[in-house]
Amino acid sequence: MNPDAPQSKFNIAASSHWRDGSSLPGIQLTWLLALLPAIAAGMFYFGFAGLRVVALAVVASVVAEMVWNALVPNRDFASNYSCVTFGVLLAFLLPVGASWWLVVIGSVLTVIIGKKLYGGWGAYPVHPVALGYAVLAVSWPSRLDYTESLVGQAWSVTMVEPMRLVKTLGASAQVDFNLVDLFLGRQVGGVGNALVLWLLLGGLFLMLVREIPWQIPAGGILGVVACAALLGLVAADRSVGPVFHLLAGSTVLMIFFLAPEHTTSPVNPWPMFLYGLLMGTLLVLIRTFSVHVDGAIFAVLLTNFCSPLLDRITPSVVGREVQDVA
Amino acid sequence: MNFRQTLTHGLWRDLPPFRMVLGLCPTLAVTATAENGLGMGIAVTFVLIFSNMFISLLRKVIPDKVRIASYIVVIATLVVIVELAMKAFFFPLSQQLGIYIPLIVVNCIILGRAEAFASRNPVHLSMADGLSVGLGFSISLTLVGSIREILGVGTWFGMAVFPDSFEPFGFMVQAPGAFLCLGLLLGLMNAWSRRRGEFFIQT
Repeated sequence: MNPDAPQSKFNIAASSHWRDGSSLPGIQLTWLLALLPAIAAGMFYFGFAGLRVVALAVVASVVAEMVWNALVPNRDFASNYSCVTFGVLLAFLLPVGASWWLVVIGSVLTVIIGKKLYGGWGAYPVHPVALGYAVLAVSWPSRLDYTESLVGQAWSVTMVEPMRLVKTLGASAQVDFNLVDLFLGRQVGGVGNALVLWLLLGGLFLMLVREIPWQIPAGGILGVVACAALLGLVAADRSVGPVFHLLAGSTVLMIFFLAPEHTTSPVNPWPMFLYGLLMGTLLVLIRTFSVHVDGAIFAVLLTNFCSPLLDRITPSVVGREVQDVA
Repeated sequence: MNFRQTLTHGLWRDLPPFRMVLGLCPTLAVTATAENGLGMGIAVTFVLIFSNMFISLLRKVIPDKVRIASYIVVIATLVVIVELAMKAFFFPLSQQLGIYIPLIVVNCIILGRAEAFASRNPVHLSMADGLSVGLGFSISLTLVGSIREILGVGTWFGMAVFPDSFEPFGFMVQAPGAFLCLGLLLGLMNAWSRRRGEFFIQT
């Protein structure tokens, strides 16, 4: 480097055409690897009933994708595995005893409406899984009741969906749930959305291999904790504690898997943090004040729409600083 | 455009609301059932034919500077006629359509045809244009309404289509279902037109 040159504030990095060997299938396979602990735990807890939903959703997603590709030529191939990941994520949100047609319709909506119609992986404005699940939740709310699907489950815990009981009976009902049970995934939920520990393992793995940035989960957790703590001061009878919010329902799935989706999340560090913060805050607000039991999906949808706006918070322009020096 | 073209352009080439992408508010708001769509379409057709007729007759009289206000007066008169007639003869339907009947006054299709066609064409062409565009609008609204009603409720014009075990796809009769249905139909029409090599593709 020329010692006479003015002190540069440029970031020195490889050119944008430099290849590091990563690929689209590689990215999605990493995500699938991160989802494996939760799939295994789901099999352990629910037996083949849980695996059935996952397998059905994956098969339906892949078939939908291949049929669409045969009809409409495009460059979003089934071989990039994105439809497999979306199938697994959608299955995680469905109840264990979901009817086969519910799973199939949800998968087709996720792949066709959520992904393909916008132009494939990398082009959609909201997470396809969130969109697919939201359509199902609007159409057949009674079919998505987690509590009903786990009637035969012999656990020594309160067999009601935690957020639902808290919503019905008020915040004092949270004493019915042991936080350790919630953490181990022994709570009423979907095929995989409430297996907190196992999802957390996958999420930490994704963060360690730099597949997802740390800012989004950090912002999400901070948003949930801060908002729940603040609400605890003003509306103590309706608001449950921050830890309960983190462990109950789909919070972990949302923070580690739905929020950091590459297409729908912002690209710069500060916007990513704000994005997570906004999502966590919205989650607690929806859970506390709306009619919906678990607001994770709606928080994801709303925040996804904000990410282009958040991305306008860009780092300061490099050339301007050099001009100031001169 | 000659008479025959004027009479048919609203059925495919300029089919509202898909080609013109005007009049989206009633398309999205009142098409929860096929019956509502058809009723709205007929009301709009009536207003469109006669507003085109009066505006075409008066096109030499209306001063250019206040033409929009004058059109609105003509259209509002006709809408009041439709509204009162509907209340008298089709009361349940008028209750269903509610505020959207008076809102025909500000329907972009009617104002658009008045401005783009009736204000510069003779009476018989203007009326043919109103009939053609109105019919196209009625067909489109009935189609959107049918799709949404069949999937969302499981009936068509109130008749059951599916056996009792059918669980309706409730999303379709809600507001986002209307957007989805409209978008899919628009996309299909464009794909079909592109395949036939037609040039009037709505982008």
